[in-house]
Amino acid sequence: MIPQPSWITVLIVLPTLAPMLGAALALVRGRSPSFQRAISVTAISVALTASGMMLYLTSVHGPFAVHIGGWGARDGGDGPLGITLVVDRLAALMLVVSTTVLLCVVVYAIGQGIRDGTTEQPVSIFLPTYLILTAGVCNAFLAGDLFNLYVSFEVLLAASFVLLTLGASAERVRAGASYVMVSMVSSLIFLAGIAFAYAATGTLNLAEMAVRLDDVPDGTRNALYAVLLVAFGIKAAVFPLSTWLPDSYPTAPAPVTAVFAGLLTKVGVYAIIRAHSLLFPGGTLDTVLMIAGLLTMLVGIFGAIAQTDVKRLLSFTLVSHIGYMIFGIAVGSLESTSAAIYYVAHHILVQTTLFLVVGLIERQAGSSSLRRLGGLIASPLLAVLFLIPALNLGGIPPFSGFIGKVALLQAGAADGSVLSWILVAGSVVTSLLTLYVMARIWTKGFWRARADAPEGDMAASTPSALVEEGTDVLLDEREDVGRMPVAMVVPTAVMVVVGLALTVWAGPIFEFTDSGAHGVLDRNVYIGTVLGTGGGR
Amino acid sequence: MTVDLGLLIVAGALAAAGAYLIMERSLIRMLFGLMLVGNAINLLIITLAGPPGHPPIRGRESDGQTADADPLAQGMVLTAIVITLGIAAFVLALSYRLFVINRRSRETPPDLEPTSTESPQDDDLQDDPEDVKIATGSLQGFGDRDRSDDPLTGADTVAGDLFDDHGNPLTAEEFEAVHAGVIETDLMPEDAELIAHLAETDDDMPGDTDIDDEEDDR
Repeated sequence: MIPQPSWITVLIVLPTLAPMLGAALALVRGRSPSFQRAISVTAISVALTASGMMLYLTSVHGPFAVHIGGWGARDGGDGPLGITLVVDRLAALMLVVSTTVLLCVVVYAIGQGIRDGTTEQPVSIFLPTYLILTAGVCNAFLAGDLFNLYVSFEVLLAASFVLLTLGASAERVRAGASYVMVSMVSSLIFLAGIAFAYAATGTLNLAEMAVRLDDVPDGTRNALYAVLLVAFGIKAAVFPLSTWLPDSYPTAPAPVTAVFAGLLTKVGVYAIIRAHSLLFPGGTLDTVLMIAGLLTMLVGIFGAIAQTDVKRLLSFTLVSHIGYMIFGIAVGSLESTSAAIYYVAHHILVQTTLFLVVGLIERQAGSSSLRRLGGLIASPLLAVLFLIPALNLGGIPPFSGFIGKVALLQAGAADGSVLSWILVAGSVVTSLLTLYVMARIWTKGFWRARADAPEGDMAASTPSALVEEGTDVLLDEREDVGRMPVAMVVPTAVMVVVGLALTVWAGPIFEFTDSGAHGVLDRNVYIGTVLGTGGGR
Repeated sequence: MTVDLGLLIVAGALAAAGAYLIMERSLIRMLFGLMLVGNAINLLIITLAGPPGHPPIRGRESDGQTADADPLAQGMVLTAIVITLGIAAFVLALSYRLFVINRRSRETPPDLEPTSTESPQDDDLQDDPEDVKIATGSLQGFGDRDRSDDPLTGADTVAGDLFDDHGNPLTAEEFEAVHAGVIETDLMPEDAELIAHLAETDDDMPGDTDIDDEEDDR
């Protein structure tokens, strides 16, 4: 085993610790908006830098594990007792993509906040909460034991409750109430799953549990697996556990919706990958997962077709494309897992970008309803910013969506079972319908003259802002209506470019996800890293 | 492994009562349900962690038992209690806010008939927007609709641009006024004859074929 560099212990806690400390500092100096902005950007940049270094280290040395507080082994050498943080290639890739997205969105949110007039009235709670959310997301990717995973879920959920109900306007509170309840039910199911798993194995550490679960009877194993899958499935919005998502996300401010759409569901997907490959290998519930993935794709995209509001429509496409990842996980081969990992990275970037663009559209036109939008082509920059991620989501070559989908289809075809072929067909149909939906936004929102929109004259509403309800500025009272602040455009453009980078460097990235998938599927590497019994390529 | 059946039955009863309460519409009752289920799962963890009576301090003996009590289970339960407490505080604030909002909207008549037969509580959750849309939606409000629809047949036609929202035909001047300052796309009929023709005949609608003929003449 390659000896770990001593500073990996510092590196591995930074993505969690830096945002946490940043949140504390930002709360202390809540009266100073400029300080809050500086500390937020700094903290997330630190997390991004640490993630990037870990990405390099894992690609060279293989996975690393750190036992916090040195609780590595009991005196009998009986496995880890305390909190373990593990970073392998998959976790490092997720961290880098997530922190990139979080950094872009925080700059966007700051830009929007200045534009919405928060310079005079700072919403002193937004940025600290956002940093706590960052810490929760990063910790979820690093958690090496089930209970730590539960705690990081709770951290990011508690932060997301506050962000979703910012300003406490009527619709946000109504949407937030059901979101809180659904999230808490999923957390309780997860906690029950932890209780059962602990009773069955006597440990919480993922690696040790994976070893001990081999001796557990099959029926008990499958019951545990099912409980955990339901809990993760609610978080990842897998049909039939997905109906809460389109009702709760669209009411939030644009940057909040963008982060939620990009990251929160993917944390659930990441947990499903871990459970599927590490704890319960052998694919006992793969058929269930496949059918769930197929239904998620189709029901989600049919829901999107019926929407008039762009934000709701994108929420449905988000649900729909979770199905692709579930498909990739359920096939369970090296190629499909690699494709699923690539698809997760692609989807985080693209879905977030689209929500940011919708924020710009709201800013520009005062509405996100297709019945009121029109003539957006007047701003070619906005049109380009929308069109690239939209085509990317629809899977048009040469963009990364196409590459990821093709890889998934190849893996499904290589699997060759009847169900896989059905799923391949379903994927193609979903992809085409996604393209149809995106084309509709394009023709209605961009090409059509505003006078032709059925309610085109009713669009002078207040865009959902980061400030409280009473301080909203009506669209037609804004001085610079129809102009987009640079601080909102630049992060969106950066996100588009990063999404394109996934296309340009698809080859190296696919090599990386291949080795990542190998590390995910070959449990012994992970287990050996954590338990110190060799391993670590 | 021995388990304490009494505690398990209590946990099951708590979970059942909590699950029943979570199904309610009122946010406060749902919160009570969450807390009951949370307590049930905490009891479950304690029960599953082993039989009672083990000494909590390492290396001691308590009533003839020398094995240590499991600290992990207790730590888990402590953490879970704290998390539930924090979320409960947040939900209480949220339900108060919902109560205020619903009170305020109660003074204005609601758009929809209440779906339940019970009298609505002030902290009830909303109906699912998708369900409402399916119940009240129409083809006219669909996202694909715009003013290019023929007012009579509902079909997509360029002639639809020559009508206002209520299906009344526009004169050439009105059409100009409506579309002034609009980015011209190639969907607009530029044929002045057709506009004039539509404006003078209220009942005689040209079909798409007529328009095609006009374009051929050009």
